[in-house]
Amino acid sequence: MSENKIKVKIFRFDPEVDKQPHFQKYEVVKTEKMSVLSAVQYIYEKLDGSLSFSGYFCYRKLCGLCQMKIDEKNRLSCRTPVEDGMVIEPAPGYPLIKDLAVDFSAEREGKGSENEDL
Amino acid sequence: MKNMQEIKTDVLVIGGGAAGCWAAITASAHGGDVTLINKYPLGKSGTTIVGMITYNAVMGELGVHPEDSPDIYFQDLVKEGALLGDQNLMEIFVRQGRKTVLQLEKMGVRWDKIGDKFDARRLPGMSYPRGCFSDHRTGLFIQRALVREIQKRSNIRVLERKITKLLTKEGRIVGAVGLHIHDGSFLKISAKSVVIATGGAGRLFKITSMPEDARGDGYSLAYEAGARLIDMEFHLFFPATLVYPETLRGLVVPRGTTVPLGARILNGRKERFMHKYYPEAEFATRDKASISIFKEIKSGAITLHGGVYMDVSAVENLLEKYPTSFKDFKDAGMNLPEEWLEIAPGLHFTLGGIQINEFCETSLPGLYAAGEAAGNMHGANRIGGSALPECSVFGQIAGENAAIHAKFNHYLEPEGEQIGEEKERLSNLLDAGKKGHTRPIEIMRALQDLMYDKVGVLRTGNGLREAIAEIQDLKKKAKDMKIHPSSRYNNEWVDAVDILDMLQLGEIAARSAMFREESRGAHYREDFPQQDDRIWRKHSLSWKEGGDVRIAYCPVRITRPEGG
Repeated sequence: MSENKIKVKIFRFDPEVDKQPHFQKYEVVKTEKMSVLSAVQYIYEKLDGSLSFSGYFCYRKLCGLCQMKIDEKNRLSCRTPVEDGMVIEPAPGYPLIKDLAVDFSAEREGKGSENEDL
Repeated sequence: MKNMQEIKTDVLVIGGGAAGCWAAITASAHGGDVTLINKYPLGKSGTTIVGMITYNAVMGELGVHPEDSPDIYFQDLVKEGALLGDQNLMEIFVRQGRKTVLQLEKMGVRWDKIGDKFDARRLPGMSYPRGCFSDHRTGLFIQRALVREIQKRSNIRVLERKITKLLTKEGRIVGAVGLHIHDGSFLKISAKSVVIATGGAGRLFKITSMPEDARGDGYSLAYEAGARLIDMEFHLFFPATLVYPETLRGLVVPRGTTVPLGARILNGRKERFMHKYYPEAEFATRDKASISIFKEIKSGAITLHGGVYMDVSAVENLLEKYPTSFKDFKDAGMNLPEEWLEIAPGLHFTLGGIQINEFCETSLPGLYAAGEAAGNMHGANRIGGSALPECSVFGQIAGENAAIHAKFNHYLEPEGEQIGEEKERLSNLLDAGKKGHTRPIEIMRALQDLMYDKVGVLRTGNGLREAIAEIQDLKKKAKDMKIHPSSRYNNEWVDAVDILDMLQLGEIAARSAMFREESRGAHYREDFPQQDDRIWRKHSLSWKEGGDVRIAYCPVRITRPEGG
């Protein structure tokens, strides 16, 4: 099988460091039936460990944590085939944490004592 | 250094799957404060949501097989567990499953019924069909129902943290330290009792049906705190999981039900081979089918992506019958039913775990465990459909007893400088990561490969010794890890924290598998292929002593000497 290289553009933003977001281009070796999620994981594993994205995926269309904005559409990245030139951004509608990582959490602070310590 | 936040709670539950949710709900009924901590968003992560179908319970006159009984389920469990299951736990389990089905129904789970009777599926090892189900998404519906219940209770606080350490005082568990993955801040939790419900450790192996977060956190937390683990050599594989495409890797392919309908398994040369290993060929039970497929893969007759083929083209109405597997695979780009699937055994369930008694107490006061994090009710093998009800039954027991413990105990400060030291350990990892050499993910992949090849379906004494030596090499590499320095949603940092624990779990699994010179259930030793009840009908126990793993044995608790 011949190596099929494609380029994708990924949204990068670390609110603690960057003044504004930017896009970074990555070259991915595309395998047959590769999903956008697999491409993002390829980038993390082979190219750039600083890329942030959810630490959980179910791979079964149940969790929704692989949602990303792909070419302007909100989609499940685990079921979206990756293509050359795609633009990949964080899921819209959630607070951004860093890069593709957003706060999907339903974190709820009930009663109890949460206080600062040193 | 980021701020250290601090909270106090009567009961801390770690893990938000079915076992953890049940523990929190049950503990909250006792009136104290409960804190439920999950690594990723509650209800959208963990292993419960991917539990597709069956939930075993003996429903009596409410079910379609009133002739079934807890005693018959008990006998099935003893037999399928190859005589290694903890019968004390089984006695409770077989009787309480039904209650939990009804509780979940009240919470909104719509079980499939025939008329007004609970419908049930039959899986291998069951004398009667007793796998209750809710469409094809039983686990997801259970998880959602439990989360709704949690949201109704004002005394349950839900937080998203990765717990990295349990705090101790004179051998008692008094709290935990958590890392906020979002921003790298630390949280100290003082708790009167702690329940571990963190699920299994599928991700120790390169192919697994468990999701990304199943890294065995709870086993490591308990081990590091000094608790005893039990039967850590028993890792159950599912024979047919996808190896390709990557995004579907590890997903379970129905084999038991499709083979009778014409599904075939073939090697990379497109020849049938299953009959070479067992006369039942494709019809072999899960353990034998896993061994056959793994041996064929080892022989080199593999597909492009390292598995064997499964041809399901002869199965009629395939896509309609299997909406959550074949239909979904088609949606993900596979040309089904014509295209041959590439499959290999994938790790499906961690049978061993934190040792518990019938109160879900561990060997450490104040520490409880339930669900897959606990071991070992099932024994050397597990009947399909018994995992989810185990979470419900023992999640409730753990929550109940943790709440009672909290009523009779005070908050205690951990001894020494445990909190500062833990903060320093994690921060130092990040600091040293700037100058380190090997990426955590490389070490993780190397561990997953060697575990799959040498501590997986097929084991030999030599292979296990090699595995232990290779793990030592990886441990050395893990002292010099290269990590991106950000503390904000840094997966590389989380991988680094996890790989240190996973290497230890891998070593415990390999060592206990090396000592067990017999084959039993999911533990298959090619050099000791027979089950040896005279010497080996006993549990292995492992714990940390003097910085190293100690392994010893204890008898199996037997309540019915005649087997039920």
